[in-house]
Amino acid sequence: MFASSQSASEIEALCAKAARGAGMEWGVAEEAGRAAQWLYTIGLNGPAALLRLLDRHSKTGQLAVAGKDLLAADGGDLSPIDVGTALSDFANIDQGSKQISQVLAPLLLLPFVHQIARAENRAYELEWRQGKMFVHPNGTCSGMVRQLENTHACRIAMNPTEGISSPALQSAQRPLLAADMIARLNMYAMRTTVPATAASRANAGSGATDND
Amino acid sequence: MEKTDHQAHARFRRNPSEVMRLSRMGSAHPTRLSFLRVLLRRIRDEKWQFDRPVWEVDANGVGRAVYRAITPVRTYSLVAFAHDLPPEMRTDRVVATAWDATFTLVDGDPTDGDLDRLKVNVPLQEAGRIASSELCLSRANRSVRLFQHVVEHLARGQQPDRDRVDAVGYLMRTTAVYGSGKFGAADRDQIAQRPEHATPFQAEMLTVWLIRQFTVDIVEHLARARGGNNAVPLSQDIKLSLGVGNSTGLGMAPFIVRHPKLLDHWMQAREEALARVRSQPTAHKAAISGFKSALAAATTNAQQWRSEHPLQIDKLDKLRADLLRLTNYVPSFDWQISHPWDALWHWGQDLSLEGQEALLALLLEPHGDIIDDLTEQMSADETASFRIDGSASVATTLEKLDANYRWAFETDFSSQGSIERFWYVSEEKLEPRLGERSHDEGAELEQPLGIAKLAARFRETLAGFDQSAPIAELLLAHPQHRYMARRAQIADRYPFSEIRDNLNDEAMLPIDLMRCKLAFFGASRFDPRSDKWVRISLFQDQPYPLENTAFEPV
Repeated sequence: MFASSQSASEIEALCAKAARGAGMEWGVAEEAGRAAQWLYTIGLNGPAALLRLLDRHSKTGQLAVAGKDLLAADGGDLSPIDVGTALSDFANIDQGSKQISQVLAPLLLLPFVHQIARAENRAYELEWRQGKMFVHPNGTCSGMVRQLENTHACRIAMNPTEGISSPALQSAQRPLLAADMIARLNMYAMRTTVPATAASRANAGSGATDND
Repeated sequence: MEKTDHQAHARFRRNPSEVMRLSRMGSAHPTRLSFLRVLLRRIRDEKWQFDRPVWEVDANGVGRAVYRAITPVRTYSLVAFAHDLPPEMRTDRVVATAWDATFTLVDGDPTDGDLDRLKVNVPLQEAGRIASSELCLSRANRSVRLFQHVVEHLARGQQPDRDRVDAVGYLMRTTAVYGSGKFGAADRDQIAQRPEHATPFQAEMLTVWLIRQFTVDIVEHLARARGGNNAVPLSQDIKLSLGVGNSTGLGMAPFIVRHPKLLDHWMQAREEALARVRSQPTAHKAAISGFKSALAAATTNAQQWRSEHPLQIDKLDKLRADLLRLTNYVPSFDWQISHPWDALWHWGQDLSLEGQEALLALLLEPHGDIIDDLTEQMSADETASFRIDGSASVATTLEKLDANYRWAFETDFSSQGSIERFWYVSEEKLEPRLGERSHDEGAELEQPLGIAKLAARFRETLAGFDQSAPIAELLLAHPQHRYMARRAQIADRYPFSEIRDNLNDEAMLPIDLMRCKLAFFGASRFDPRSDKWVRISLFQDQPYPLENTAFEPV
């Protein structure tokens, strides 16, 4: 059973709130929302990947960056949002190849890799045990993209690649989103809301009749 | 008149420290750069055509209608559903489940299949879904004070009581106008490249303007149903004086905080416009005469502007007094001096905030040929400024934070009053609300709108961190500052992006946030119902789409 089609901005808002509801800081949750939305608009199921991450979020490890290595200081699996934001933040400081330790929902890395690819105007290759793909500066992806979409966790290497041509931009078919997946993201999002009380309901409106 | 370049205007520009204060933003007046004015000028210049191919409404006022805006390139259609709403269900609150009329703006001509789908969904509003073939979703309720009165009078062959019309100012008021991807509508991307959407909120403004036509059509229809041959239409005079009401609560308040780059672009356009006018070395006759007409119109508007709210009554008293002072000053003003508009501006700095901001609008009004182009800069690509530059050093970041957020650091956060209010979203109906820390639940779920406090916390961490380190390292160790770090980088590039007041303060007035945004829309006659709820009117005194006369917007 599929949810009715969602706009990109609805997906972004829902995913950002869900990420916050699952415990990410606001500024990190915003990145999660954008990442899920970016994937959605290029035809990849970012929201589903985010949901898988959120279900395990409390168990993700503390990210440490040691030069080219991104790893979990306490040995747990990494959050792709933590990794992605760090990759983006450190990109101007330390360009080039990176080795990323076991990361959940690696699909969510793609938007961050794209930001770097675009800024440096060169493609990046992503390689993991079961596959390889490219992220191009123009926002397209090539290679075993669907494989990565279905990968729940992996170690992954990121390498800049010169001289390969980008596929042409095409408008992508947005993925059908399962209704129960949307419902579960909504449940996380609702954790950011406060249950109403009679007092809070009354206080929100005009106080007088708002009917005239 | 010449458009002098940006750099020449530095001495004529206001500082963000002066402009970005809530009390001034809460005294904002609509200008010719306002979004509804931009729409109407385009409609006139491009000669858009309008028709109403569908009007299927029964004697009880139930049915549907379609209004079309036909541009040289494409068509937009407002689909309207008229309902028979039991009076006890009528409310402006987001908790409402039924309305007098519901609407959607279709990107093109709706097919029969579209109309069937829309009939199922649009009357449900937030509980339904629209598609990317729709741009906006809206609903409106009748004015209990005015609507029935007008129906009854027109039915009897009489015009409604003019005083009552003036007191209310609209037949119906919208209680939400949703665009930009909400509830399944098209994302802004879908229309952003079209020239007619270069300025923000054009789809929403078109929606409301077409709704205005509907409000007149339905009231005249009901009058005819009731009075038969005795019924008359609204006089042209009264019809023009009616706008579309809008009822806005806290739902809108966070918008300008959540869209700092967009807010910056709006403010910069307006401030640049003011600077261009002030920098004119001489005043041309036509501009002087235009200014005087605008002043007379503003004076009339201020007389007709009503509110029962003590805050607004006080502001209106000041506004009327200031407009009178200005009116008395102008006859003796020497227009021959160098930079006369600037001189007039300086004279006006003695006026109240309402008076100053009204004067700003008056200065802009006759200068369309040198400022109207600025409306093309009022949209913002927020994606382009989202990415944090992690290579900036902690030291530089701290220095810039001190420069741009000094106002925040002057707050005494140890005082309960300065942190008393907190913004949150209610579980019920997902409404933004304001709580009071001293007696409300939910403060741990506070939304990130208290920028002053966030800036102070960020500063503390910055000050204690290795100064030569890149901010990337600080954010790795302290992800809780990511939100503020992003804002701080935006604020450094976009000086008018941040409101320089503490939004947690117990004395903060949410209506100041709303009025700022609504003034950019072109709303007039702000009527606060509390410090969290405001009534406005849109399109008063403007022409209608279905008119036979030449189209001349005011």
